[in-house]
Amino acid sequence: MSKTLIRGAKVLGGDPQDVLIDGGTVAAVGTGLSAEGAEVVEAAGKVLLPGLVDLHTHLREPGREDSETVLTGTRAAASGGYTAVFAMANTFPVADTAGVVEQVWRLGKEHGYCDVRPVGAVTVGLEGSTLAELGAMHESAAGVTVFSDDGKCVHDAVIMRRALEYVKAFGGVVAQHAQEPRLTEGAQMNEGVVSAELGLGGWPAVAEESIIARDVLLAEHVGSRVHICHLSTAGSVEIVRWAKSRGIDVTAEVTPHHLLLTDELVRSYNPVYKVNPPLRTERDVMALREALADGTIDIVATDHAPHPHEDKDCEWAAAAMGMVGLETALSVVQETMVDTGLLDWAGVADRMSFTPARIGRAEGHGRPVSAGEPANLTLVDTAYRGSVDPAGFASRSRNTPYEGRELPGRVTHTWLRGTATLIDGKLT
Amino acid sequence: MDTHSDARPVLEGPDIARVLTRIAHEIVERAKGADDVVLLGIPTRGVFLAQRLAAKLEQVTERKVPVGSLDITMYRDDLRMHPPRALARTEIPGDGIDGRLVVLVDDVLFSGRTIRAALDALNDIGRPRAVQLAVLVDRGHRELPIRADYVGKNLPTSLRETVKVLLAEEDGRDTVLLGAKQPAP
Amino acid sequence: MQRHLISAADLTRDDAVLILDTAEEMARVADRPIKKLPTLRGRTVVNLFFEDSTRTRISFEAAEKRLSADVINFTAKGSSVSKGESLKDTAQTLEAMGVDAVVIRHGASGAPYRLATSGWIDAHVINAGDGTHQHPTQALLDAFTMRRRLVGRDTGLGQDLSGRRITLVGDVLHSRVARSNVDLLHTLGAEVTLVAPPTLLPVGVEAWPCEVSYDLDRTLPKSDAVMMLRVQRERMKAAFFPTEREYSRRYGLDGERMRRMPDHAIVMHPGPMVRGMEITAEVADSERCTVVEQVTNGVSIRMAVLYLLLGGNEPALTQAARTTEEK
Repeated sequence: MSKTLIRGAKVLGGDPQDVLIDGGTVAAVGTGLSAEGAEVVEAAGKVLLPGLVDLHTHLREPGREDSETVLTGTRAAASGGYTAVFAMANTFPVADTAGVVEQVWRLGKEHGYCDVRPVGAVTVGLEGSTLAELGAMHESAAGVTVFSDDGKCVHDAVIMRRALEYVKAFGGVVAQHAQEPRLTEGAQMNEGVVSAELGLGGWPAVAEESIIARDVLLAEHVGSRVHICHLSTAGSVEIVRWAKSRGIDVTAEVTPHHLLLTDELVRSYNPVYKVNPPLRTERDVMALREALADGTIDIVATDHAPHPHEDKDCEWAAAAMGMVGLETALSVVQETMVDTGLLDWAGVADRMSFTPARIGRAEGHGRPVSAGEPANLTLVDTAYRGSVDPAGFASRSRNTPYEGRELPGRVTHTWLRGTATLIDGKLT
Repeated sequence: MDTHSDARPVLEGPDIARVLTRIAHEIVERAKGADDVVLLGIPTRGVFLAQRLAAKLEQVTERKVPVGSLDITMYRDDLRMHPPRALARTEIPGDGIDGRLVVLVDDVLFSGRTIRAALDALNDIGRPRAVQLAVLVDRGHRELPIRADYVGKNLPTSLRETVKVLLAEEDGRDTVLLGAKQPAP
Repeated sequence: MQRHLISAADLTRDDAVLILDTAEEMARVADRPIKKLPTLRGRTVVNLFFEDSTRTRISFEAAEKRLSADVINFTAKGSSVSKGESLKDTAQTLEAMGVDAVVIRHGASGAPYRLATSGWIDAHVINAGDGTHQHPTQALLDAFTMRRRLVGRDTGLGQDLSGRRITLVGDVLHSRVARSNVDLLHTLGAEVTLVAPPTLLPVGVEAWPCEVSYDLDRTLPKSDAVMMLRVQRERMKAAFFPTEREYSRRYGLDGERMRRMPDHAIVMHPGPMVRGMEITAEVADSERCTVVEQVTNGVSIRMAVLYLLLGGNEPALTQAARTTEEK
């Protein structure tokens, strides 16, 4: 394997340094490193981050290859600066057996754009009634550590309790999609002033918060850890803050879109803004940013949810929920957290790489940029500003809420174990 | 509203009163007593003229003369050349128009298209014995085979000129102005 | 409101008064031997109904035919929202046939807005009721009925409903009629009060330009018009209220309650009425109840809207985007 010298990059936003990659490893970090025998990447002014890790991605394969495949999804990931993604279990068939998770894992390995860590379903068929073979999925080649019925809530308290207990045996974690099903029957958007006016079924904040409250108490009771997916309300933040103050082993994620967009956008009835959990209010957005900054929310996860055009080019009620996010996540985080002064780049590295890798036990990812570590790296041109053009996406789907919106930052290079997957913004 | 700064009056208040009186007498004469006449003014100013004419006819005949209004907006042939216009009132006197002599009253007779629309509108309202037309000013330039039965003043004009009738009920004074067309902005 | 009528909230006060005044003239056509005007000759209007509503469809159809438009009725029963393509594909199919306006009734809130703004079609879009969102022509005909009864048929011309106290009672949560009426009546200067059990009011109603009360008896004596909204019996099963009997007792309008209203006050209902639930037969059949008038007025209002949107080379209502569609 060849050598690469990244010259003059601001490592985690700090002082300019050279980073030498030799084979799959970071060989040296310092100033004035020799470029001999190495391909040089001039990185003056750019920020070098550890390869990003997404704990919440929908790759859609198997079953919905019309919206995304492992190949297109991991290319999108590499494009967005990710070196590892956790692929959610709500595929067809559901990833609730060792066979399905191994298939997804193997496809990721073959394509080589990004490590794919499959998430196993908590319950068979995501139906919430019978535990899936969590142990078998863990022991499979895919080595599943994160379990989630994402898209659906594990609403039965007993099943949730058992799952939390059961995964302790192998250090797994249950990632809960917190949505009380009865309170969200027919729900189409955040319940509040806008839903009242638009006549769209309301999705109350309490439907999320009540489940989070229950689950942190369950986690405390059984001494397990629990992860909360895509937290979206100010109330949820308060509950997680309280739980952490009690020493409960809870982690939480927020999506980029919940850091930026509000339910006011739904006034357009454009289903590109239809997402689960729904876009909330300005007050919620501000609370989420603050919580991400102070560590109450541990990580940013994209909830990248590709959908074919026809599932969005229709009336609101008929449209699918979800947004693609891998290729815009870092820009949105820069816009909402860095450029606002809430978080520095070291903080971004923590929220988008170190901590998600730790929660998901993604070995070799989320490591410091220092000699001897795996060369999973992302180089960002933070001075760039440009409008989002979905036509340029690597993802098979285009359902982005940011089309035409100007956002800062652009990932120019991504290295997966020393191999460039993205060079000057182009996939290899 | 148009400005009439460079327009010159061709009929003043007393002239208008005089020609209306003349028209009233002509109607009585032609209609042999005018006992079945119904006056229908075409909004806006035709309605006021019809009301004035009715008053004159009542003086002459010492009988009540039915008077109403006929809005022709929705019968116009140039609807699709403009935004929709606000509608005016169509008010047909109580006994209707069937079998009666309807005298349509308008301020200016020009292309004749308004009168064509009025004839269509009448058709949907009833079947008069006959329809006649009274206008304050006939300025020529007909585009349809239509003529007035009673004319206050024949006013030869060019197409570059405008004729504007002002009436006290609407405009605060009685006058007919002849002016040059404003160039299109 | 651009070139469409999607929401009563899009109408300015002057737009709304223009529609009411125009409808007043349209109403007179109904008294004539030939109830027809040539105004929309050569225009094609499609009534695209994804939801059953014979009353609204017939009302629009009568209005369209009185204005001499060519009318196509398209009832997409059952397809509703189960297949998203259907709305776009159906609309495009109709547009390919040369439709000038689409009158749409759809079960999904926002479907007419999507149709008007998504670039799928060029035709004018008139919302004939979408989900629990809006039903602007219903609000207009209600305002028309109120203006006639409370201000006067001729004296009302050019007037709004300033200072009139209007009370809407019933299932506000699921009612597009309520939303449209609150918006329009507020624009027209009326003081609106919603009366309903708290379960049948949407979260967020506090942002609406109206008062909210849970007490019908306190509101009735201060009402110039009381509009009873339909309450579907199935709401009972979803625990919005315990029993039909309890609902009627607390929020139904019976003769005794009606007599607590001022003498001039009217009772309105968008129909269809559920007698015995929100309204008793005595009230429904009383002189003060305007249900039948509302139906008649609906045709006049829809004629006015069609004329003002389609009658010229561009719509007559303000904020209307400039557009020419001469053929």
